[in-house]
Amino acid sequence: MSVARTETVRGGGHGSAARAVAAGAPAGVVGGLAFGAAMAQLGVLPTVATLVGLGSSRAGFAVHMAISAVVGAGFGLMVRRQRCGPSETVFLGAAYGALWWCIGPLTLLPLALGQAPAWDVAAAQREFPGLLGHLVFGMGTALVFVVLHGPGDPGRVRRPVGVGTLVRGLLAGLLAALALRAVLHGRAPAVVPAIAVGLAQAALSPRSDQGIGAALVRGQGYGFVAWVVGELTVLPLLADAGLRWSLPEARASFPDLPGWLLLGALAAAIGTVLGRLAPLLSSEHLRAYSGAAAGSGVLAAALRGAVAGLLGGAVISQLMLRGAVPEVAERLTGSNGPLAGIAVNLAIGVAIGVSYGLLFRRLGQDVTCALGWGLSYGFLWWVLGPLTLLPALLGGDPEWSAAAAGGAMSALAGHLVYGGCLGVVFHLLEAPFGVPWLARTRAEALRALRRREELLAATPALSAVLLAMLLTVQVVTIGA
Amino acid sequence: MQHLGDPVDGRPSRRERTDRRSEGGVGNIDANLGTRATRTGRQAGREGQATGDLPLPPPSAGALASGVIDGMLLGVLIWAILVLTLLPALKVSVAALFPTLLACLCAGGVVGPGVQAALRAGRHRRPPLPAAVGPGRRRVVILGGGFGGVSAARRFEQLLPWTPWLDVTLVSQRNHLLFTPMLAEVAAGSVEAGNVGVPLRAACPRTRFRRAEVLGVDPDRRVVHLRRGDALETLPYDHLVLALGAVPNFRDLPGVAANALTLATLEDARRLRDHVLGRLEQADQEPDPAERRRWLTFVVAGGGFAGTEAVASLFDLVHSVLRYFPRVRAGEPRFLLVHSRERILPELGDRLAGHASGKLVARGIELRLGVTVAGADADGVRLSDGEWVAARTLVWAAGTRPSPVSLVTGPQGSVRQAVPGGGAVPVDRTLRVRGTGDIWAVGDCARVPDLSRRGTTCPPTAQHAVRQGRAVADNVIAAMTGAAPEPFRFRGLGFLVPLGRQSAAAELRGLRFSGLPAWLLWRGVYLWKLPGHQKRLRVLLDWTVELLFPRDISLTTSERHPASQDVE
Repeated sequence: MSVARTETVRGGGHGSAARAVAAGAPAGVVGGLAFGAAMAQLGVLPTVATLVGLGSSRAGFAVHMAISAVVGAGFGLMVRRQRCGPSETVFLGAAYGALWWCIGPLTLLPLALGQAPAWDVAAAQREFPGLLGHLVFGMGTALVFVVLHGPGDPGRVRRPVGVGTLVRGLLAGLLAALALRAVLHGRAPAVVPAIAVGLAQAALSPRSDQGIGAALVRGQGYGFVAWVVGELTVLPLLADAGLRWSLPEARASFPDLPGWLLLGALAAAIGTVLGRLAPLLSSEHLRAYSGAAAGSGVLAAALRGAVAGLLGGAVISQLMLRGAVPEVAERLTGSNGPLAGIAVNLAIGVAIGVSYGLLFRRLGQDVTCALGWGLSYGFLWWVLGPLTLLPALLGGDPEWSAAAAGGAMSALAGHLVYGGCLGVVFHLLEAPFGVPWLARTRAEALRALRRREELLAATPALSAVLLAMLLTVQVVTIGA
Repeated sequence: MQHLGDPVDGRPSRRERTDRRSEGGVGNIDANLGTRATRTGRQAGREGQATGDLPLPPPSAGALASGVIDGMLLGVLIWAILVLTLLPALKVSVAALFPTLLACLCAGGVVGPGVQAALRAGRHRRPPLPAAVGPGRRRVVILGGGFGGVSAARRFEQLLPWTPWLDVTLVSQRNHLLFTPMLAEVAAGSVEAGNVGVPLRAACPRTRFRRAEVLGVDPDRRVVHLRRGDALETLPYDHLVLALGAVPNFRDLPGVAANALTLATLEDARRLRDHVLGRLEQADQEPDPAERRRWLTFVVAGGGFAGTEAVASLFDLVHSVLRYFPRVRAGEPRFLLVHSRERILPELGDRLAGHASGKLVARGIELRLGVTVAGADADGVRLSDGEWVAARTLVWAAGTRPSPVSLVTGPQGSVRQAVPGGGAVPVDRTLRVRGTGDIWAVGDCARVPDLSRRGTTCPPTAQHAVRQGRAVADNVIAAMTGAAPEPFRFRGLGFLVPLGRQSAAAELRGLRFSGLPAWLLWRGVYLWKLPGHQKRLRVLLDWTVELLFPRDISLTTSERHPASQDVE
């Protein structure tokens, strides 16, 4: 018996521009309403009204809603042919909102006011509430667009989200919260919000057959959304404390962000594992279960990951020799010689590479997909590594403050470069043995092509939230 | 279940031929799904529902969002590289590079769709492999699912990314690769039977598999004649690899074929184990001393590797379960190893073979050297020196012959033997059958010249068959692509032979040793060589259980008691 039901979409005309605009514009209006309410609370509507030569809040709200409708329609046009699920569409919305923050307040608004584009950090930090507002707008628009237009494949029947799926999400959130609180104690999010994150993941991403790697990236995105929407927006409003969208408030809340990211990733991973256990316990699931056994291809994936990680570590070591990547080896081994640093980087690179191989095997359908996975995984390891594990290994607490994160920006860049190398090299090693070009029957080729199409559509969407996270982290932490 | 487009007997289905005509060539799923979606949608939908799949939607004309996102991600990577290179060089803060981040994101977003389109343009020009063999596809058929055949198939699979035009089919009566080095362990009850059989479909997932009996080969028409149940089929080929192995050779000795047990298949190993345990059951209840001796006398013919392993394994089996048969005394079971030469294990050196003989004798196994089995019946075995051994168990390990291969012009046509008398197929140095251009042979069914020892042929061992399989795959592809096939060269690595519990003899490139180290090496090497992690884990578990618990004496096959009463 289903508890929630998503839209069943059939028939022709799904990808038409008119239908996309017809759904995107009202979606933009709904998103704009939420953003507009926030803008009213922040008192920035008169600034928007100056675009049309007026100065009242009402005029500003009207202009804002008009812009929202147009931008929403644009979102519809951009994603009308994107064959991905609701969660991926929401992440695309977040990236879309972040992109419009760069285009709008930082570029077009200054130009409209006769000024140069405000691309410096100071301007970005002044406009930080606008960044959060655009993220909320983007995600809200995407969510409403999913409801009105329907995501994903035309002609594909959506299975309703069952009770079992929601129970799995609840369990995943609960277990993730308990595990994190056992390790991180008070730094981890509370159990109730964690359960909410698990349920949201289950409702928006009921299918867990893309693998644990994809789940980690998706979960990381959910964690970020939970921090923005929950920690900074909904929870303060419920407590009658107003939005926590100012830069100082965001910096004060920044220590919670890594906990949310880790919670989201862990809950998604646990949910995927629980989903894979279901066929072992239910005969109903066995009929539909056609995935590869967990043990097959593991060794090859681990070896490829090790090689890719070694190359990524070598690249980082090269940059480290130029003094770019600071002091991980020095802090870990107490030695500041280059050889110790290279050895440590390579060892860590290989270990992370092996984990990437095991978690992301068969997910990189082409170079761009692989780049997205690698960058997202690199970002996750920046949170896990320099901010969490490294201080813990040195006997301290995780360094999750905005100032600490701001001081680890070079490490962030290093992890992103490593992750990019890792993803691309692993893909190049794996691609010759990929399924679509070695199918033996038409049915097998069709199945593989379908999976490839789904991953090609979903991967950029899942990786898109990285853009929003990166901008947010940069703006909040620089100068903290 | 017949899938859309699956060939039957190598011929494309009618729908496949129709589709190919409309497509104008080899099937391109991407390019043609749009026009075929409605026509085949219902068919594919039925197929999809039956197989759990859904119809593939028409390919997108280009998703703008993904192109923009991918471009922006590329911009992130470029920004990160700039941070790592410019920061130390210009000695600026990360804040100073924030505009660079925005610039990279914007630039990436603009050029992203174009870059993505260029990267993926080749995708639609590279059709996936269609089901049916069409123009441009070359077909290789491998006959035999033993070491040689599977090794060839796996080598073809390794090369498949560079030879997508290749279509390989493996034909075997068995659906598993039998790991024969551990067969004696199955007969001894140390390892479960299923754990030494590796499914061919799992071992060669990219190879078509046909479970059928090979009746013959017609080299003129380039087809193989198969029997699948009651149906006769033909399988066309462009190149054929013979890897049919060997079968026991009873040499027409009277009564031997009817009364001897062999150790060539899993069924043989199960049957032998149950036979031995059944003899213990009989002996435990037999009051007549003469009859008891017959039940408890076990004769193994052949003192090569197979025979020595068999007698040692059976000895271990019997003595490890004697505790369950209180009326059978420890000295009563009798084991005889009959060998035609003056020493067993002729492949080993004198010293090592002597050590092995001493080990067997010390355990209580009798050696009858310089004699052969002359005949057998239900009550005993006659040796060539006239001795009559009263025994109800004869295990034949005294020789094999290559599996007969016949070349026929048709089911009713005249038969032309590849080799008069049906011996091994002679091949040249590149493993190609002499007198043919497209037939190759490896393993026990082939007579392969040993280039490391002039004038001799390669011994029929698994290590040679595996390497011949790999070499023949390379040579077949070379022949197909116009390159020159390479001669096969391999010098054997050595020999390992178990001599029963915690003992073995080993000779590796001149290094000889025995005892527990050799036994550990034997187990380690063959565990590693066993295909598949799952099987290795299972065999390892079997060996571990054997250390901790007694062997199982359950009879898994039913055997009628010669007396009227049933065994309770």
